[in-house]
Amino acid sequence: MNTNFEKEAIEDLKRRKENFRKFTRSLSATEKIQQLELLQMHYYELLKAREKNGGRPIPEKWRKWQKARFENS
Amino acid sequence: MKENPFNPSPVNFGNVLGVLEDMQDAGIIEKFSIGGAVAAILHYEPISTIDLDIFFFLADKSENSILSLTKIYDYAASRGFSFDHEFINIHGWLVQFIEASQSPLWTEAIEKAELMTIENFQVLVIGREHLAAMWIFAGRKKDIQKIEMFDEARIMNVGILYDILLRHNLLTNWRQQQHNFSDEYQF
Repeated sequence: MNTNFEKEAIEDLKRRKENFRKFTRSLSATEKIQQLELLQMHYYELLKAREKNGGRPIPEKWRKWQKARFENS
Repeated sequence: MKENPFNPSPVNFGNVLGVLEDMQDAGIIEKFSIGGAVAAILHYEPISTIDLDIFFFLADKSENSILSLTKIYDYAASRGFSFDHEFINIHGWLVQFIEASQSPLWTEAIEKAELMTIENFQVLVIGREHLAAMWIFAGRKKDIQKIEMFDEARIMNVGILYDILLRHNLLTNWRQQQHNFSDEYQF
């Protein structure tokens, strides 16, 4: 059973997630694309960290995405 | 630009749109629309995706779709864009080109696409109800999830959606999945 502290932490996380979603929905088309690019970068970093720590390898499609970005940089 | 508490990234999407316009000017593609997950994002909120789907018509209607893709790949090579069998890397974006004229649904989706302003470009984006019809046709888990997202947002017009599904014989597909959707979208 969750303690009060855990319950509050989960509620806080839900609240912050919903605030973030509200924020992204309010963006212009250009800003939504910017936000997407940022999320892609963050997500790739998470996949990389997972792999580095013995978890599942980075999926091939995300490797392809990173290669495309790297080629372009 | 709104103040972004989540740190905006530098965007190069406008460069991609510039290339697509250049392809129109060069007579390689005629009309094009953004589809897939990026279209979903533009209508609602960012979700995970790695690529940009471009639905297009050929400028030269006498050519078949295999020839059309050859022209696109030739163009990519001339501009120094790398590519494989699936994507062309345009300024860091993985772009997938889908020739639409063979599908009445895709054709209509382009013809009725909505004009949006992205950076300084006026771009056609496939409409919500057509996207939902395309996703129900594809029927993968990730497609159904995108319909659920639109359902949650209540951004699909019920009458327009029903009409599209009916005309393109997709009502059976929809009914097989509608347990995932709210009461409003039970047909």
